[in-house]
Amino acid sequence: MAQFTDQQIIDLCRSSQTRERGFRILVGQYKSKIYWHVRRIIYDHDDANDVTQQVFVKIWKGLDEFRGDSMLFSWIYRIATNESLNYLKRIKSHEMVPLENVTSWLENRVEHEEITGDEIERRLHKALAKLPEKQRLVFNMKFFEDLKFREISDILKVTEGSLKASYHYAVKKIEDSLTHD
Amino acid sequence: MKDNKIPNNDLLNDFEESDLLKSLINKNSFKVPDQYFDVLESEILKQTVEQKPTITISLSGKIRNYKYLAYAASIIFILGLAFLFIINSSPQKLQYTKKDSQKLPESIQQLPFADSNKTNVAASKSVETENEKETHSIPVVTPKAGSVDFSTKKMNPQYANSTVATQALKETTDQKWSPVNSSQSGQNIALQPVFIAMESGAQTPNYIVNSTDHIQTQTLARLVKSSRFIPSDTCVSSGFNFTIAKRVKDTYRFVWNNEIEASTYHISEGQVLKLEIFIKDSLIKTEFSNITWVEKPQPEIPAFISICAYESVLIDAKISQKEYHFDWSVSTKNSSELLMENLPVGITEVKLRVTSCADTVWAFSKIEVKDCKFEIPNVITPNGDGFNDYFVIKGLNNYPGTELTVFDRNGKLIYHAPDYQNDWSPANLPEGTYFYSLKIKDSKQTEHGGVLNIVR
Repeated sequence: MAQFTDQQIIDLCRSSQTRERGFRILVGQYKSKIYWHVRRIIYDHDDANDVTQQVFVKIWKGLDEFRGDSMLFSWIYRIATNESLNYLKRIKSHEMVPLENVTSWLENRVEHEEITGDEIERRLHKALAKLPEKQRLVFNMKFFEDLKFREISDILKVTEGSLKASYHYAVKKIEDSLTHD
Repeated sequence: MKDNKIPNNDLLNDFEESDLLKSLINKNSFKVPDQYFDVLESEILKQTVEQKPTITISLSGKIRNYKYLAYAASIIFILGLAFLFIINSSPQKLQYTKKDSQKLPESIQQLPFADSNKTNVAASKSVETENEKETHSIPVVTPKAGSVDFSTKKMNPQYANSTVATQALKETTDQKWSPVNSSQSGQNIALQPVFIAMESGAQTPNYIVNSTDHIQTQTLARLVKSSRFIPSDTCVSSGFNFTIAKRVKDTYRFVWNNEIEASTYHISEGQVLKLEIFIKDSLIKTEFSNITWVEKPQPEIPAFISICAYESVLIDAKISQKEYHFDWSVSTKNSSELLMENLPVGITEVKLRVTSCADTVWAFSKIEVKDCKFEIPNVITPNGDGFNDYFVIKGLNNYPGTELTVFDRNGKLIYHAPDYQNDWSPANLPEGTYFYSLKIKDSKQTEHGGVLNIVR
């Protein structure tokens, strides 16, 4: 399937006759990216599946309001990020996880995932679960999803400088725990 | 598109990930099910583009403001689904309870005992479709080998093909009572996986929650967060075991009533059960269950009753606690006594199910209904040849205590027996016409009279 640019997708979605086609293309091109983005934040497949569906329903409903003053790409990622973080927050409060246990709770979620790969990958994900939320997000997007700092900055509405610092810290911490643990 | 106002800062871009970390870049360590993204796409489209046309057509497409109505409608629809889901997923519905059996749908409850098969067929069809809908759910309740299963148990083989009525009865009761069908009878068995196995004492039927398949398709964390381990209300008649399924207990720790850490807990007393679930040392969840103790019902009804067609019979289970619910296969009455009248000739099977919130106990009775007609001869030949020497009334043995009185044409009393035994042979009476009167010892004191000719 030929790749469409964001601009082509937006143009299709603008007109009510082609909106449906545009949205189908959007889903086709973004579904796996968004799923993996969500999955890496909340780990559990079933949860990620739910949230990803919610994200696309939101996008569909929000197409009218999307004015194109930011990029489609970052708009979609922003919705996905917010939905995932809200979801985590919601189930955390639902399960009454004490604050000091939040990270161990996340680690535990990682442990429940069947991680393919070898021991070192498992340790990478455990180390990742220990990171503060922002550093974890940045690391995911930069390291796994190969996004540019400029793109991440657009998504999270955080300056690039601060993102780079976060990423730097995250990499340091992860390398530490990979080599020392 | 937005201009990037921050100049690329190469200084911060400078640092390098270590080789070890670099080797992991873009490695995807999490699994997804096969073909998952196709499923995801179709799910998304179902909820978005494919949902819209039906709504916009009905609003004729032009009235833009009405789209909010459409949104509202879809939200209500989703809420409705969610509500159904919540109802369906309540894990307390694992056993028959008093409430459950009262909730039998009217169509089934009011099936008369020997109703036509049509109704049953219709009922079973709807059951099938329900099953198709719920393919992702698990048939949670399965009675263990020792418990009573109507569909396989033959009560009295010698009567197996005696009457059509018993056949119809069987179908009716299977429909009404087989445990799997209970999920279609209004109270749904949990849609969500529930991974406690409950075992009651040796006397009562066992309920095992089988969720192995489901655990494989669901991740454990999701199960733990979305399910209750113990029901909020538990009703028991005797000691009771809560057992946590294996895969869960390997990961989590379970502490019961603040004292015992185990994956199985035997409860023998108390009003409240407390369960705390830990991962390592952090408490994940606390659950409580209110325990109700109810004595196990022990109905006693006679296994075999023989009556005549005109007679009625009162079957009494001899228990009448308020906590019990009585289901008779031949009546919709919730009572420990059942008066049966106007029964058809043949064999009638009566099945009684007594349910308390903890137990289900069955009792069976077979009623033989004879038509008990008299066949009274109008001639006897008491000449000692072995034929018709005695005044023999066929069917008399069905009426113990029947009084026979015989008069001659002048009204003179010839013979009287308060409990006639077919043993009167008037060897020395002259030939002629006589009159007899039978008085049957039933509730109506039925009398029957007739003419008897004596010929030699």
